[in-house]
Amino acid sequence: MSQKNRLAQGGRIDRNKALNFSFAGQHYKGYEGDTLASALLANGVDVVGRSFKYSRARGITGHGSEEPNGVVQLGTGDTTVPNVRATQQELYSGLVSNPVAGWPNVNFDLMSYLGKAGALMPPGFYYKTFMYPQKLWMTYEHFIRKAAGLGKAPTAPDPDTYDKFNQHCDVMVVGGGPAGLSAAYAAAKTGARVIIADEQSEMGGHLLTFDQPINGGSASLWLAEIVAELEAMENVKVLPKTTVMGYFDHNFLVAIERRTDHLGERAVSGTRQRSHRIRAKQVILAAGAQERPLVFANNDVPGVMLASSVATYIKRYAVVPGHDLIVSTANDSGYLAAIEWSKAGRHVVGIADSRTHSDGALVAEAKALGINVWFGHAVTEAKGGHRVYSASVAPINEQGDKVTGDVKQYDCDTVATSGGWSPVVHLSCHTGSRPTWSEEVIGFVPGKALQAQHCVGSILGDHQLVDCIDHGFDVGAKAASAAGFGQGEVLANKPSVERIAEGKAQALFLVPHKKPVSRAPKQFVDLQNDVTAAGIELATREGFESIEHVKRYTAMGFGTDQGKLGNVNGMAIAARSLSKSIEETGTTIFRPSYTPSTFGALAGRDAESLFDPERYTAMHQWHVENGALFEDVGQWKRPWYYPKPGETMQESLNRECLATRNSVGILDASTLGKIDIQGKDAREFLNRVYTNAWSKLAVGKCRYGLMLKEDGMIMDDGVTSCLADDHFILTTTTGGAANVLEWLELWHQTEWPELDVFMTSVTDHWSTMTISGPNARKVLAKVCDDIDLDKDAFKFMDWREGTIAGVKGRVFRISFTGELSYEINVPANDGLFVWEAVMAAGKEFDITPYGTETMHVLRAEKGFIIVGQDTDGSVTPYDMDMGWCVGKNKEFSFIGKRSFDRPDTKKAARKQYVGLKTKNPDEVLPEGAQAVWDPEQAIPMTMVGHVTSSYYSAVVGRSIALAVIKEGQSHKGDTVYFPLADGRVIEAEICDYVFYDPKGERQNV
Amino acid sequence: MSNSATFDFSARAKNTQGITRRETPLHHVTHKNVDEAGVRFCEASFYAHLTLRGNPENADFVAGVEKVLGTALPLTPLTSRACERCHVFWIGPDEWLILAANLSPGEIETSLRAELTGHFSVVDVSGGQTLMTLSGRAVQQVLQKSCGYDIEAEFPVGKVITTHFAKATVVLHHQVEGSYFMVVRRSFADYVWRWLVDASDEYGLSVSE
Amino acid sequence: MLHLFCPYCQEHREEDEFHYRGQAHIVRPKDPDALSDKEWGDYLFFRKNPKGIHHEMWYHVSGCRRFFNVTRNTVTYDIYETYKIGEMPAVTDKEETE
Repeated sequence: MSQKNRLAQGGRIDRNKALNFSFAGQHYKGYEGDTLASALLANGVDVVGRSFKYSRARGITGHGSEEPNGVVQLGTGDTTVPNVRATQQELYSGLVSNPVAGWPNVNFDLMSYLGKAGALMPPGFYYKTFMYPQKLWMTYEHFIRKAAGLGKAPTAPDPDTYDKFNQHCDVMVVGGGPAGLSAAYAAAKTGARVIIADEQSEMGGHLLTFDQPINGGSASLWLAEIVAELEAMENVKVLPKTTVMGYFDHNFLVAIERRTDHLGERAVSGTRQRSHRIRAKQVILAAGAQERPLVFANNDVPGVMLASSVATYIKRYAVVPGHDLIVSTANDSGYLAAIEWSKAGRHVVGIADSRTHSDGALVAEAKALGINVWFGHAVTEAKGGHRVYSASVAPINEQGDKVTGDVKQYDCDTVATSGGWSPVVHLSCHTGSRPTWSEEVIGFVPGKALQAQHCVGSILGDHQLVDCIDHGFDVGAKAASAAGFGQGEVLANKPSVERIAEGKAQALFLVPHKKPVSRAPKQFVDLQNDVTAAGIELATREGFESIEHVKRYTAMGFGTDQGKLGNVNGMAIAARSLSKSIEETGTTIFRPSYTPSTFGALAGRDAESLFDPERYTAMHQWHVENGALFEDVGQWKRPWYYPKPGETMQESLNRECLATRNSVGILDASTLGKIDIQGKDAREFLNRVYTNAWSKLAVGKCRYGLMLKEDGMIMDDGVTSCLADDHFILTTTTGGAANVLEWLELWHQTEWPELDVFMTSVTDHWSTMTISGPNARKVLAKVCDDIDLDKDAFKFMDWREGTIAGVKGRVFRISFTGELSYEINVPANDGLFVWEAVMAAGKEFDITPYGTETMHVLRAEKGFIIVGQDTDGSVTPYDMDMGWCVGKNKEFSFIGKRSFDRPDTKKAARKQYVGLKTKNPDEVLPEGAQAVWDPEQAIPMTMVGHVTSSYYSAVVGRSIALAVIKEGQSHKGDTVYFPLADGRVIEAEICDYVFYDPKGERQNV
Repeated sequence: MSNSATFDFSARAKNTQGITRRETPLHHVTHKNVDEAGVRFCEASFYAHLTLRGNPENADFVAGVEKVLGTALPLTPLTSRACERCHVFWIGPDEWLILAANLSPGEIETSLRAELTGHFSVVDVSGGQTLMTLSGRAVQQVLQKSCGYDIEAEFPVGKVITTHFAKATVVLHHQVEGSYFMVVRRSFADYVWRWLVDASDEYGLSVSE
Repeated sequence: MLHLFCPYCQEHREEDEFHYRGQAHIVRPKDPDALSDKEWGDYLFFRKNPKGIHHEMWYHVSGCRRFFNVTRNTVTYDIYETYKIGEMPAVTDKEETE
């Protein structure tokens, strides 16, 4: 197909670079510099989608992020992106796009017949239509989604790279139009670090459409110069193709830069999108204003466009999107579309200006070009299905609410409308500032700045170029000064720009029709959600008075365009319907993100294997080489178990457990938290944070300790060893390491700074390997000859310094298995070497590596608790039958002690730690199963406790479980039942929690 | 709950030493010199790393440390001192990190304990962390991808900060113009390394011994 | 994301370097055993939840590992001051600034 709407000359496109692309399966040509929208218009494509509710044909309306209709599915396969605005997507060779709305296709639409047959989705359908019956919701949703066609997410991982970049600047300028560029320039001249971002492919904003002379020359020339100068400055970053999507606390902004989206569907190299995380000292919002369409009957027919968009397509892309134009405007700026149209050599039928008169320069220019101007008139209705073929023009009264005379029909294929300009207040809203209505601007302007924020240009309602530039320089210098650069004076020559004579704009939103709103053809307010003026009036009639409720009732402003075009008109219509002023009615507010953002850009490189740190011990590679499967414990990768070929998990566990019980096993325990404590008050400090007493722990001795929170509940546990009178090493659970250190620092820094104690994490410094089992001493003896290992010289709960496989380290004789155990600690650089040496030494005893699962089984056989598994923040030491670990006579009231006396803590009927034996010894209870005394009772049953740990124990020869049961200690021998979700009821006997070696003899051999 | 594919030790390099074979946290990293690389990386193996704690208002402590280390303690927040023997970083108001290439941690600890009196603490953490050096024309971009800190303007030569590098906590030091020290905990070293490889991809990465 | 001035590092840092630790200036009773259950319960469980000025504690966990206090407006998230443990706030709700 030929580019029938493309002009032979002009525009910011490169005619030497033709690009092939496709839309809805049809192939077209465009040029480099085109957007997908301009290329579609150049090729005369009228219908780009189907509307959400009524399934009406829709065409391109705007030229930027405000576009409600031209939303496409870009690309195919893994790199496809839904919700791309055709107006923002730069054309590239081979671009494939499809409409997201329209089923089965945009030109023939099944839904439109349904829509015509009846009001399938009347206003308020969220509340009413789909309320009943509830069970049909799934059906409704499926139908709506399919019909609305909101695009598809790719099913396979995105092969492209997205990343994040942290930026800092003194002055952040949002918007690269004349005001933003001037502000950035003035700020940069002071030496301040400046970032300027604009969502379009090139800087310039309105200057790309309206070439008003600057410094007596072309605006494009000034634009090229100032952009070049900014780009050359070392203290300036110019970011085109970058949308500032959110403005957060303390001047933190997130901007998403589309780096390769203009080159192809797939980023061949580098980053496809980069999210800039910007911390700015001062922010200048120069985001401009968005032209507001007029609301009239059938204003959604393809061919009805924004006046500024029509002018932009002609000036910037050399595309005239039709042949016969009628303009309907309430201000001077709408005239520009007619002027450019006429200059392009196509026919302007006339300009319907709702005002009584205007002396503006553009009005004079239009008249000089011989264009018909009808003051006191407006387009009241468009006619057409897939394209406008005529427009109704009628005289209206001065208030703009009544048709006062005969309606005339004019043939045309394009209607350009301008109802005025709405400042882009979104970003200032993100900070929590409510926009305020300005009668002068006829729009909402940013409310009071809540952060170090300035606004300049048409975001404030200024639309004289001279004001935008002039104020831009001033605000730029002021913001720089506030950031500490310059005294606020402008250190550059402001360019000279002539003020253009301008007629006063009229506040016109809904154009009157011969018929009342409720009976006139549909007058669309929000094109993306098919919200009509009648729908808004219905909402107010039904009693929705708050604008936030009207929004939710009608779905106005819901879509991916977030009401950029429709909101102000909708609020004005609601206000009129409620007989209130717009100021009284107020506005809904906007939240991030300003435009749809890809998940890729939000995730950056924090994905897949880089999503979260994976922490490894020094022996990790040995575990991998020896077939370990791994368990995530916090961020650590810990060996879970080491299956041999052909083994089931239970077989592996049985083998690992029995090897440890009968000979010797080895565990990598390096992940346990270790905290070095030094200082003369270290003992006193330990006395305060642990339940038990530390005053008499001698050098060379170890002791188990329980740490509570102030509410008396168990928080952590571990063994602490006395290295010297003023030097201890404390161990924590793997998961609790960081929290415990923070906890200790909290008490030291905020409550007891007078205690002389310093704490340092040494978790990573020491590699820890536990050898456990009857042959542990024999293995250790082979690699260590400078420690007397005799059972009476090196007793249970002693530690010794010595040399293990030639490496200086510490050996702790402590046990979490109930067997003879030694915990070897060596500096981690030597960890793997020593591990391998111990493995070699243990070979003759068939030393068996075991993982966390076997560790859990072995300790459960002994009834040893795991904090966080058998405890959950609601159990005291007494609940866990660990009163032996509480120092009752300590002088200082240790953390948590007072809470033992709280009525709830000391009541008898608390859950208590017990063991369980299932009636069927082969049945393993699920962890978390809830206990009841009577399984026959009615649901909801009275639950009396739950299973905290449960395993099959090879050495005991049956399943074993640990639980907390209400008053469990006095119910030993009783039967308790576990009704499961699958209908089974498991019967178990409450028993002691020690299942193996109840006298604890094995660890003392 | 599976074998992690990300920990690649198949190409173990030579950063191991001694009769007992000590190994750095990144001993599995392959060295490759790439002339045009924008980012240059090196794991400075087997430095002595010690955490020193004490009261900066105690003149005896401050003088004693200076006597042993040969350089004064940096008392101003976020500053560092260096001499031929070692680097000393301010970590907190009563905490410093000592790094030394050619001294054993035991030697330093022994000398400090011999010299200092009163309340202080010295802890050898040499096995618990590793020192990485980063340089090259694109090093700043890589840091900007990884750290929220204002590397560009607030990080002159000599400064030292503890901050986030991706999701790990690191000590970062601007050693000489364009060249940075980064101290990383051992268990996070592989994660940081893999992040660096990824972040440097577009600039090219050279890894030296 | 907040930008907090650490009074020990003497500069602003990003929020992700810090842990929030709740209401500031809660002093542990000198003799807990002498307290009634109600008094102990108040110390344990009851915290302010003001709309407006709030004094709260933060921990510079990925930094200098110091606890410090912050006077923050819970509505606007404005931070009026940060100060060391042991110091008292200069800004209190009586002199709430606009």
